[in-house]
Amino acid sequence: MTGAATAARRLGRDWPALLGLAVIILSTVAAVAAPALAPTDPVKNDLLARLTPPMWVTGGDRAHPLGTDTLGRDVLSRLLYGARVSLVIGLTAVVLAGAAGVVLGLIAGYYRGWLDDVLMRVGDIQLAFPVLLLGVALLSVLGASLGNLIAVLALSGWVTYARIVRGKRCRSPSASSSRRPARLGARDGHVIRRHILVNVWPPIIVVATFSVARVIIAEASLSFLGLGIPPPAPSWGAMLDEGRNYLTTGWWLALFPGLAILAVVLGINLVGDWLRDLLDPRLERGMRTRAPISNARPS
Amino acid sequence: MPGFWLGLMLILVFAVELKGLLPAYGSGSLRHLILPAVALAAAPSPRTCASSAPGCSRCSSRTTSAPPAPRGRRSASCLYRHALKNAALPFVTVAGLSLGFMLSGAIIIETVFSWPGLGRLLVQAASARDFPVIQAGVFLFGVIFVLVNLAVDLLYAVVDPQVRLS
Repeated sequence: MTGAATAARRLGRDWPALLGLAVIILSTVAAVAAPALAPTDPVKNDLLARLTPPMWVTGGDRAHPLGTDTLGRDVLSRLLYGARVSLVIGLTAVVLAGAAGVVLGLIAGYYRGWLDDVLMRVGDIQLAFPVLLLGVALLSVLGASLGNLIAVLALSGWVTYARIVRGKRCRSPSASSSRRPARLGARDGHVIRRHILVNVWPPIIVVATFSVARVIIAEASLSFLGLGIPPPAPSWGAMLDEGRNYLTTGWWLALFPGLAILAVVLGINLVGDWLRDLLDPRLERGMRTRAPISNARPS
Repeated sequence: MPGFWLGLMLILVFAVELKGLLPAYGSGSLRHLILPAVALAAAPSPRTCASSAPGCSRCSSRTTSAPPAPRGRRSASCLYRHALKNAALPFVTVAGLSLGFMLSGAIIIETVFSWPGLGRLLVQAASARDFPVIQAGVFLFGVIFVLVNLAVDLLYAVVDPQVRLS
């Protein structure tokens, strides 16, 4: 419990982390309670009220606090429902990537041999390929849907976790100590759970937190290109794409989804910074992005 | 901040609100290049900054750049000649990587600014389900990415005297 108490005290002094946490809680509430909070149905058209400006601008309507889009759909409602899409995709893709990465990393690090070589080389190839490019190529072939979107984003993320697990396993001074129980007759599952996993979870949590932000941006980018979940479902990236064509007449269409993405990503990154300082001070800032290719080669 | 949203806001400010100070889309002149370049550069620049700052500050406090300052050199020349040289190595690494990832950033930015480039071609091919063009585009991007990384590796030899090519 003292660990949790220390964490809470540190959080109290760290206002950026508090701000980030507040944003995350707020967006989660918005996503969960979207049906209750939204003024109208997010996909309901109202062509007579199309392109209504936000309510504080002249011509605005109190029924549509952030205005309406080109089909008369309420921007605020679409933003709230869009939070669902972003958060669900962000969390699911990161959990899938994390689970796959940890398992593959364990296999590679624990059993070594040719399997290790194959997995890590596949990972190198994966890292050399920009996420967005992979997304455009795969989604255009497979077709855009929620499941495919999550699969593509999860596929692009597993290598980082696998490398951390494998690296921790190889580098840790207790590399011999995790072999010793095996020599004493412990089964593999026991050794992995009790001696290896306990050591790898702090960096995994930190990287996963930053990954949620990265995935949310990637999802918005793909939706922006028209490769996200199909319309009329509201997604922040798709809303930006619609707003792009109406910049001269409806600035609010592009402004608010962008602000929403900005706030959520910033909030997650602030909390991620705090988690990193708390859990693993040695973890470098660079872990947030991919490892340089040139450093990936065995020296 | 997503770069494409910054791009939209730049269009909103410089092309719409300021009555066409800078062109909002298309290519042709250097003026067309300003907004897309700024939008694309904004995302990786903090990382470049963060990676070269420790090098600079470390060097400037150390002996390497300290001697010229008492000898009466201006601080700017001191900074360029001594600090920048030492900070160049992490900068080259990060800049090279950013260049690679800017390729994927360009896919989005080219769409925002209707820039007739490889990225936009790829997106249009994707929406038209033109698979041969997608394959060719993805392959070309991959080749460019590898070549950029090769160039970065070769640059190490220039920047870092400890690295020898042969």
